[in-house]
Amino acid sequence: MTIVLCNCFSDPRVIRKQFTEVATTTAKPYGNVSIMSPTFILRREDIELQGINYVYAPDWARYYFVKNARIQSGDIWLLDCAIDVLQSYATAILQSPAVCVANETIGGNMVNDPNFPIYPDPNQTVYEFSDSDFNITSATGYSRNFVLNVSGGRGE
Amino acid sequence: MAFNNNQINPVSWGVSDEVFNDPARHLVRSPTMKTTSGEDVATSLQPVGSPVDQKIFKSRINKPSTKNPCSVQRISFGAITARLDNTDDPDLRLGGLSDTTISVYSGSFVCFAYGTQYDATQNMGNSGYSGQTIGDMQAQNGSTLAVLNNTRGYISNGGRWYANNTRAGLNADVYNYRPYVKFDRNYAVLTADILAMRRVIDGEIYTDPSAFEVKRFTLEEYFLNSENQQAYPLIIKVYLKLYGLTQGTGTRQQILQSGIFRDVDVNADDDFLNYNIVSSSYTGEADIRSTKNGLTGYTDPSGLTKTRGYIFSNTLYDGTVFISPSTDLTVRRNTLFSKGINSHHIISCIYRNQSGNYIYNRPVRVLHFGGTMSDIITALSDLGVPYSIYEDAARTGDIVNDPRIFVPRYGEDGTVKDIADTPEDKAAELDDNPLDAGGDPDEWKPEGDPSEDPDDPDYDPKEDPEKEKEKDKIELKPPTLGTVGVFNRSYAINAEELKALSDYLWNADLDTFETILKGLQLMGANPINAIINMILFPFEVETGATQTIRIGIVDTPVTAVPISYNATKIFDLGTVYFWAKYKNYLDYEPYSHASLYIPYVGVIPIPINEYLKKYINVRLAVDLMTGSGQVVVYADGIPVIYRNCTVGCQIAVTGQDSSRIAANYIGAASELVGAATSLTGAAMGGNVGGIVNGSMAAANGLIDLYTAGHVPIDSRGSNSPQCGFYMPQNCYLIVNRPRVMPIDQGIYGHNVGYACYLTGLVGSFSGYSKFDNVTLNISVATDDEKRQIIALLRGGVYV
Repeated sequence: MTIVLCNCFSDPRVIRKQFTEVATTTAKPYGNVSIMSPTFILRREDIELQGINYVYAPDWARYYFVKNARIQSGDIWLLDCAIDVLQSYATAILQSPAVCVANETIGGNMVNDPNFPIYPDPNQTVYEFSDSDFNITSATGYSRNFVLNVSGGRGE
Repeated sequence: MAFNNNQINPVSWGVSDEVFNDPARHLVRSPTMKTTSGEDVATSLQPVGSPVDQKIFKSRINKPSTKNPCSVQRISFGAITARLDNTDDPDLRLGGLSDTTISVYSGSFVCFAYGTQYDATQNMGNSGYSGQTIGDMQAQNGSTLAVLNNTRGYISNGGRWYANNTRAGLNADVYNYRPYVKFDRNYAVLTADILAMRRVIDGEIYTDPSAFEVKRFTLEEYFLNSENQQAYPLIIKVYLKLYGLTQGTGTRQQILQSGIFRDVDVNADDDFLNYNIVSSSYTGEADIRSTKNGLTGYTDPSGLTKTRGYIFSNTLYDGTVFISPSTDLTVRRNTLFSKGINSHHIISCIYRNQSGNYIYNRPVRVLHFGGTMSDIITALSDLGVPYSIYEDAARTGDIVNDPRIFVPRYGEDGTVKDIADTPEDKAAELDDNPLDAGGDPDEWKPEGDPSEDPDDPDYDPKEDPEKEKEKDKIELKPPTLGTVGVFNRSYAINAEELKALSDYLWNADLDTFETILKGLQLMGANPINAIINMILFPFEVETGATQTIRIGIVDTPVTAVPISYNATKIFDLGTVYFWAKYKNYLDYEPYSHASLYIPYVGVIPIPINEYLKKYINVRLAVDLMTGSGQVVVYADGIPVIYRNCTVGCQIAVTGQDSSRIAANYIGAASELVGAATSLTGAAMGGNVGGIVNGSMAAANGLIDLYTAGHVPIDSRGSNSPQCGFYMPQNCYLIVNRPRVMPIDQGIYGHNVGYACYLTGLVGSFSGYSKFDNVTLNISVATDDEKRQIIALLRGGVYV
């Protein structure tokens, strides 16, 4: 099968990655083939594999990260790959409805964010209420703060 | 009134100018009101009425019931054929099979438009129909549904007649009856004509077609004239005649062309299911008359031109098969009434050719009405329209006051329950219908409208029914009645006045003698006994003019300010605005916390959700009689927290019991007098020295009593802790807010992301994003791949 050897310089979490194609070559799946994590065996054929970290398998319509490149013998290389589902299904993913719970620039002010870093010790602020009618700390001998309740007849 | 197929039909089904010119108001598309020549029907010929509001009409459709007769009978009066629905208009299927019968609960009489448009896609089984559009009340030969062939009395489809299709509500598959107009029930009066036939004898061969003469009578003419009944004993048809008010004239005219009750179907219980009024373009009368001679030409399969006579061609029915010499049609026609009261005669019909030669003789059945006038009246009544057996009453009679006109009364299920025959009952029945009132359909709410029922799950009031009770503040209002001044007095007293009071109670300024005198003046009363309590408050209780303190019945020389009867005081302890610092979730719990310190209450936690970004106000209500208080914490004028407290500090009141002091001295003086008496005696006896010694002893005893301190004192009340006075006397709001670590917002957003909750396509976002609840539609991906995608999206990706 044909595979395209690429150099990808995007973060693995990018959905649509940027990569450059280095070479297209023929390779075979090696060993027990898993479409999720295949190993391709290929002949080097003057391909500089140092910068190869990304593979596209057109026959499978899938993209793969190169996890490891092993030299088996001479010019026989083994590329251990892992599927990049984000790139492989980028179009469909971008068209998928979802709920975004975190975003780089859009934040919901009233959405609880337990990841946001805060110090464990809070800041305390005390606000005094104004206009209290209590005068016990400033009353004089002429302040009528005492109430005498007595019996007898009708009050005023 | 004979129908003339070319006559301009005055029955435009009651579309007023206003409504007619506004098709949007029609439940259906306004049918073309054209004459046979294609001209618009004159407005003056349009009777009153208005289109049925779609909402109202639908709201009146009850649940199907096998026992509930399809009220199409009330509304199909005048309904000719169905208008097939090939549009997006709502499909109002009425009637149908017994298990799908739908009743229309209508307090008004609703007319249906004459079917106008034929949809060839509908399986009407009538391939012979042309599908042309027809105007109101116009029937053209073989070109409308359910209209039997004008001349032959059967559908000219060359074959089969799908009887179901022609009957309102009989089959739920294809019919979409459309109410076009509604009449108030005081607009129209119904009556009927009878078409009766001369007597026939079973098995008898009649060669003279005149023996089968028919004649049309009014109900009055037929049933109130025995001669007519005897001469024409067989009722083979009942014509309906509806007299309705004509727009602009105020008088009634016949708005339904001699409608024919026909094609009534019944369910297994012999209940009427529907009526279907065939276009008056077909009149059995005309046909009958035309066949009175019994001769019409036809060509039989052998090619021989023959004549045949159809006697009441529309009633040639043996119960299942319509007998026709030329075709083998399956036609079922009923009269108005149920099968139960139909009967038939078997007669022989003579068929002769044009030369008058006998062709053949075959028996035919004549289906005729076997009921009574009462049955006919019942059928009329069930239509729900005011009716009369007198034509002149129907034409000109006053519905309410004419005793010859009766008004059916509807029950809750939309069927007629009984008859109103007195002016009062008739007026009440006609008034008891919102549609009859001619109100705005948009404002009308039928009885039992679920939208009015708060318990209905579809209850949806247009506005808050309790709106007028809305309050934006809850105030504290002092009571108008209190405990002060009711068998007691209260005084607001300052410290200086208290000193004077204390001196008074302790006789501080009096010597012994003056104390005794005071006690005697008290007449045994002890002021201390009349004191209830004394309380110290942390606020000035009252100010104003002073007056003498009267304790019990004793006026003291001390003055104070009397407290009014309303002794409960309300104090405002201040207000603070609870500011949101971060203006985001950090201002709320669990990140931020808040509490209130309230004097004499302590520190109480407050829910931030209730108080954030609101004005917090604390108020205190105090009972001056007991010293108790209740604190209320407001958030923007709404009380949220209540706490009880003790605000006043009780003080024990003490003093000398002056009255007892005096009493004690008086007792001692009595002894002295006694001693003095003895002394006198002794003096009489010459022992003067002993007397003097005795007196001195008695006097010394009094002095000892006083100096020994045996002076009675009293007290009232007890001291309560004053610790609260040492606490802060202001309210305080204490807020603990988180401290945010300084971060680079760009890096944080790019690597962690700010929390949000937004819905949309993944591709509609940009930058670092985390997604949850993803719907993947990737048909070629394996299950593991999909799981991995979801996991990656949840963990965060760069879009």
